[in-house]
Amino acid sequence: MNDQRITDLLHEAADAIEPGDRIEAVRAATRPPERGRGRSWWAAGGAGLVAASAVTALVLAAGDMPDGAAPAPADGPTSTATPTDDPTSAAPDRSERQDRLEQMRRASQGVHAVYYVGDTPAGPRLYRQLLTMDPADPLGVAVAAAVGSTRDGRRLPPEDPDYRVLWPPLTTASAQLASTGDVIDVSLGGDPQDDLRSAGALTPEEARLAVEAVVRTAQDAVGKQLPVRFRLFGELADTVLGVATSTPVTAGPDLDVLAHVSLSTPFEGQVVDNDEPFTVTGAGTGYEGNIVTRIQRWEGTYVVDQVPTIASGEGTPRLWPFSVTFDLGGVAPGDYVVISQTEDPSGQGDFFTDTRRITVID
Amino acid sequence: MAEHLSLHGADADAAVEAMYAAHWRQLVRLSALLVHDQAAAEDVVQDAFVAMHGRWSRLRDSDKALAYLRQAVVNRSRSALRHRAVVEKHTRREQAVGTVVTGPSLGGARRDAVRAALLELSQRQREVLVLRHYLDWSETQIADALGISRGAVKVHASRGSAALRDLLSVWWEDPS
Repeated sequence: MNDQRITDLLHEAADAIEPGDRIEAVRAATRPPERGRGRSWWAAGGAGLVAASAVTALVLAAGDMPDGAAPAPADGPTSTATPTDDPTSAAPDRSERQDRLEQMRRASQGVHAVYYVGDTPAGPRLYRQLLTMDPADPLGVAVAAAVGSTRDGRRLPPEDPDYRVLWPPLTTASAQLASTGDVIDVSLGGDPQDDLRSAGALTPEEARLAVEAVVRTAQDAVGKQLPVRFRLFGELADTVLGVATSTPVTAGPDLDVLAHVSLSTPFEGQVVDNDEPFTVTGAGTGYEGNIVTRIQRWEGTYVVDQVPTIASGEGTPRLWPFSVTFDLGGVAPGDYVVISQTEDPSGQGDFFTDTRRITVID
Repeated sequence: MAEHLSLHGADADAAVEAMYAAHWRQLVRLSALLVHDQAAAEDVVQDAFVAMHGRWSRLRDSDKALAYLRQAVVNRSRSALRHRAVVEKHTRREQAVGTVVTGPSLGGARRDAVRAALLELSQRQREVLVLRHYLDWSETQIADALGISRGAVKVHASRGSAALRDLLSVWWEDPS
């Protein structure tokens, strides 16, 4: 009878399939938040909870830095701060050239920026995380990462646990520079049950940030601030997550959409030799451009060293690059957290931070 | 498939490990019959295990966990396929290139043909046939899992079988 034949055919078809192993992925997705995650979270200036700023103030008060006070000068061994821009003399175009040079340097190493969402006292903002990626299609890889996936549609959460992707979980994305060279085409797909045309569970602000993350990631990957044209399931889209996209989308003002400090290096989990100079780079803006970067024990609040620097420049308000070098000689091996923080002249806990966890070795 | 795992008192992590060891392969194969490709099937089942982990406090038993996993795989496969259909419709229109996948051998070609033919069926027909012939479920079990009547299961099974027979006529009598 037919039935047995169908059974045989289905078993033959199915049993030839040798599934790949995903146990590590399952474990990773079901792992409880790491110990220290909470601390990392406050260090990122999380404002997801009403109590967040109070918690932050308490922890800082118990730490080595007076609450809201201007940072003390570095008292560590021989740390140096190098403002990458001299605020008094640097012309804006010089800084832009530096940005371009940095972009070229990164591109040659297959390192690109992806924008992720993190919490700040000003609400959710974008942070820029550097990722090493396939140099064959950096634009496609970076844009896919910005919606939380790989180019072949697998999940790719941010490396830094303080960051997140707001796009619905099954969203996929690809991108290419239009042949005219003046617009970037981003094509989105995903689970139609999560209608990508409307904001769904996202607030309008979150939806705007999700779209902005893709726009900025695409622009960084091509090295030009080109507008981005969106397609949904192949069709040109009037709205994406409820955000108007009938005309190509440009990036919003830096200070409105970005966290006011964002670290480029180290990367999350980087292993650092305490014999080598350790350089922290990032971009920031804030009251008089003051950014303080400190290194403290992952467990506890002991601050190994902290160094102030100035990130500022002239022209359109934006984030300015900064770079700080630490001498870790004599620092005991172990886990530490690097925290860069904008100044808080109000003393109200109203500052931005970005953090990276590092492991120092002998 | 009938072995009974004792997960009494196990925590969610241990339960997921045990269920994964016992059922991962078969669940991916189940999903692969319902979706377009193996990677998508692995994604579906991976997500089902993650969901099971989150529900473990309400399952607490290997039979319930397996039932939950199978149900989750069927439901999620449906979503994955619907998504795929939209994407592929677009891709086909853009590329205008028919893609015929053939295996390296007669058996491979037949396996591909079977999976392709399943995708030609209606969603309900496909689900009913796969649950019945691959998982060996009764009409009642299928009706419960899909939320349809037993009569509807019969209808889908009979129409699905007929359609499959047409689609696979080349392979139907081949005993190899």
